[in-house]
Amino acid sequence: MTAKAKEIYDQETVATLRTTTTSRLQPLYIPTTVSGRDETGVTILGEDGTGTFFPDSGTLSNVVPLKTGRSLSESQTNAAALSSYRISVESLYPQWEESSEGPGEAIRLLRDATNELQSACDSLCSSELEILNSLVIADGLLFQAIKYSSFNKSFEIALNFCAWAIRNAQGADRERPPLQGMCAALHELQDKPFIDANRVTDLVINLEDQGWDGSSPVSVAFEMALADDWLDLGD
Amino acid sequence: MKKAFVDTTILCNALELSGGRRAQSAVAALREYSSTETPYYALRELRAGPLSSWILAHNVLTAENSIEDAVERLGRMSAFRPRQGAVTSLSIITGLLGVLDKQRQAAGAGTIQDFDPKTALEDYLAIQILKAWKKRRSITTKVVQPLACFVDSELKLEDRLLKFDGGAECAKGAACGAALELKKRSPVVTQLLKKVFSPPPKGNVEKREKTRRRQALKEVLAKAPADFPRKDCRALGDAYFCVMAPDDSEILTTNASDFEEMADELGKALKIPS
Repeated sequence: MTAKAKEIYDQETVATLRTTTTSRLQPLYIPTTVSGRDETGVTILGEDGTGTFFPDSGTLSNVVPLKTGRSLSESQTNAAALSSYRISVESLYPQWEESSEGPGEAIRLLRDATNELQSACDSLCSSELEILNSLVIADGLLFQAIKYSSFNKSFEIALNFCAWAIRNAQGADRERPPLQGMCAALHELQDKPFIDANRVTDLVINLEDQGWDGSSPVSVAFEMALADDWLDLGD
Repeated sequence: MKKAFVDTTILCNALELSGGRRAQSAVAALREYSSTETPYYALRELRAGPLSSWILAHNVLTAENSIEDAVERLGRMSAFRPRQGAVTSLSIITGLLGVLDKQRQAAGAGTIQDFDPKTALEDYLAIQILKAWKKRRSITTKVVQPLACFVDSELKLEDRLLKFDGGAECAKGAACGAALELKKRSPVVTQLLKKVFSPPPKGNVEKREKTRRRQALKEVLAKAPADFPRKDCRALGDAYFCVMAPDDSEILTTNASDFEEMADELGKALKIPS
């Protein structure tokens, strides 16, 4: 978020909170119950419905109204949209923090895997063995996380691809751009556990374009066994 | 300028729905052209045929408790389904059996796996299907010849199952777009019927596919597009590509046996990737 956008955001949030029954300033509260599996974002609208602060954050049904009577200009909303402001998944789903099963555990394992991969990125100039070790740990953690990810099939599909891609990593994948691409993908999954199938498809296509290969022994066996004349177009 | 008119087999291969090496061959073939065109009819065939078979395999696998159960159920379905799509389903069953073989080998070798093969397979099928459908329009430089009847809707993952938004691929009540296009080219269709699809001499057996195509082409000439039977649209198949390919293009397909005679008769160039 740019300084100007943040200033406006802070002023308006404070204005909103001060007009409510709560007199003291407190963190913006995002209800933990969301109406849909893909809705992890926050949309903040002005009274006229034009001031969208986080247009990429989904369509959370719980919208926080701004009571300043002033709508945001296009440049302000654009600046906000381009910002790197992220609401952590822990703020959205605090109950997951203490959970040792389901989404909470999946997110914890994913976070550890991301940190491990980040450390592989950081080790690029020092030790090849450290990189390899980080990759082994990261894929192990991701395979663990898959077991807890049945709450969102799209999330599970993405984890599966990333886990195999890291396990299959070749020399070229251990260079900085692909590693950073994978780190970015894992960060996104961490931030958006209710990611939808459409976004996961883009994410996987993007990783494949960077050279990552998510094939597994089962996918290879499946492809090898497909019969030569399999293409029946129903003629 | 070299132009390719792409059929459904090339589209499927390039979209990685037919196994590794076929994809490389299709992509390499496409790179030889400066302009490549996919007709919407190919997207329609892709959706109704191969992609639907993959979706069926994914959804059955997801619904069943094990790969073995999925194989058994798909086998029962293939036995009861009409011929349409049965080969594809059986081939996918073969693919699943290949996975089971691999698992048995791993178990026999005492290998401990840290992943669930069924989940891995489900997720692989899902992402292959989603990627293929998302890339359907970007495999070639252009998608041409829209069909008024074809609903080119998006795929979604709902309740762990894959389904298309908006139901069937044929718009309800719309006249068959493929029949409409062929009707506009009635002299060419008549030429094909006379020269390529003349009935075989008594006692000779011809491919069932050829018999159905002859019948469908006759229906194109005999009926208004609005009355063309919906079930016959797919029977037009390869004839559609041969008739509709622009004269300055090469028809790119892997299906030499069905295309050659028609392409020769109509003076269209055919290219089969190596």
